[in-house]
Amino acid sequence: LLLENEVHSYAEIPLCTEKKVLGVLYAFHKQNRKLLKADLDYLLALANRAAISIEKVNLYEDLRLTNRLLQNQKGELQAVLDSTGGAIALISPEMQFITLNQKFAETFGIDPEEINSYQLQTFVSQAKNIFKDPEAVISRIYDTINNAPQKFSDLFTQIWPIQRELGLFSRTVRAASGEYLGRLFVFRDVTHEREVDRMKSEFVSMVSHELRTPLTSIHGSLGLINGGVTGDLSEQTKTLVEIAYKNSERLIRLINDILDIEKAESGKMVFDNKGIDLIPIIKQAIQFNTAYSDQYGVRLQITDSIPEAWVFADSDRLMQVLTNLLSNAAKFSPSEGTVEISVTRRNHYFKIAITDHGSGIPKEFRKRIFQRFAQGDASTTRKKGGTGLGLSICKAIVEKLNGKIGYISKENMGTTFFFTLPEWIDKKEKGNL
Amino acid sequence: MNNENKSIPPLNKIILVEDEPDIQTVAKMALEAMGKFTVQVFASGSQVIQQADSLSADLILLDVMMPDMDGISVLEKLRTIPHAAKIPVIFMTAKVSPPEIITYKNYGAIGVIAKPFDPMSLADTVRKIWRESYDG
Repeated sequence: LLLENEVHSYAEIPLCTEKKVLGVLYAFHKQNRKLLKADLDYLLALANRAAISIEKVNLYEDLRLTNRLLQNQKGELQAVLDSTGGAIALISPEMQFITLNQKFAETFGIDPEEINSYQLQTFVSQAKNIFKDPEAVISRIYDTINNAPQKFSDLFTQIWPIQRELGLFSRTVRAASGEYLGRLFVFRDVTHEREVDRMKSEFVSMVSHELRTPLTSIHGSLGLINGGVTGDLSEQTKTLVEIAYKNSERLIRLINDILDIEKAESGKMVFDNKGIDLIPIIKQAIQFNTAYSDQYGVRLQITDSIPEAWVFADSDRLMQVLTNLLSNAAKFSPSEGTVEISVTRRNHYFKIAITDHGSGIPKEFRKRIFQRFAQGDASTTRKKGGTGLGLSICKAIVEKLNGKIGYISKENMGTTFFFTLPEWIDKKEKGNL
Repeated sequence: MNNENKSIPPLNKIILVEDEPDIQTVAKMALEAMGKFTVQVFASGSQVIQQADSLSADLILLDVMMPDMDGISVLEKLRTIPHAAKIPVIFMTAKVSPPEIITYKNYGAIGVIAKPFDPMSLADTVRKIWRESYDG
């Protein structure tokens, strides 16, 4: 081919960058001549400039592609953000909006056209018109951007453009490298959910009260007959009245438990927490439950304890947990058995364990033991007289006190229910009690 | 009232304000049979207010949820009537959440008895609250 084109001499110069060869520069001559140094220098300079130019074009092309990819991803992300139900804002550590979605504009009455240039400063200055308690919202945002828990949620009332309740969920955002990018704030309209919750609470409270009124009469009448106020009864009548009286008591417990679980679920369970020593409370709980355990011929005994165990808790609620666990242990103990109670301390947590030597929790029942109306089998309710709500109430109370509840059960060996509570370390306050 | 040196006056006459006839019967019987009290029953808050000037009682047991006037309104009104203003009041109610109990105490009730009550120990509970209100 070269001869056909009367090429008698040529040179090949590679087009190189630092990392790779991009191509080859060919130089042809129709004469048969030797390559001079000047030729070579010229060709090398030419090849070098060509390589740089090609490299630039390649880089530019790569950048264009990456940019297009990023734009696509940003578009997809924005579409996802815009299609969610929440008003989303990502705020940088320098207190600037990084991303806002359309729902944010819609929720806070911002012109959608202006959303891309909308500033955090503007939002803050408009907050007094938007929120019932603007200070709370602003401080929640400013105080949490650079120093706050990873996640939190809160509730605010919006007064403009419309009146509604907004739930706020917030969490930190980090790049894959771990670099802190800012904090995400998601406002969601929870008006309807809150209204349904309120209606549910009111309904439960109303029904419970309506049930208590006739129950007061039934329980009271049966109690007076059973107590002999109206005179002596035949054996048969006495047995039947006792059954009716016992069951009216069970109905009362059930109503109280339903109210408690409803309060726990709606976050309305009131806790009057104080620095208290667990040991006297446990002793008192044992004392209160002795009459009950005597019915089953079961002894309640402290087997392991420590001199004092200070926790920050509501003593009435703790008594509720202890009574529940102690009465359960007594109920499920063999006659003439012993229920063992221990209090230990580890890593600034106290562990209260209550052990029975009964038949253990059936395997199939273990998973749902803390669920509402969970009981071992249908006959247990009748035999043992529980409401099936006790353990779920205990769980709600213990968790509200920042503790954990659990159990270890071995078939035909018995069950240990335990709960932990964090140690109360504020000695100064303790001294003032 | 909370004077430790003060002797505890006798508790004999109790007024029960309760709109439910069945509960009236049970509570009256329980208080009379177990506590040997004399019990006068009023079926509504307005009835007891109307007769406030002539009330003769050591203590008032007052229901909270009643159709014409709720227990708190009755207590507030009684406190403005000189003859009845100083009669101690115990609320007897199904509404006994901790904040509700605090509210009753803030209005000046000396105690709260939860419904349903135990009829056999109702009289003892009333006496205990009565004693504690003087013991402090």
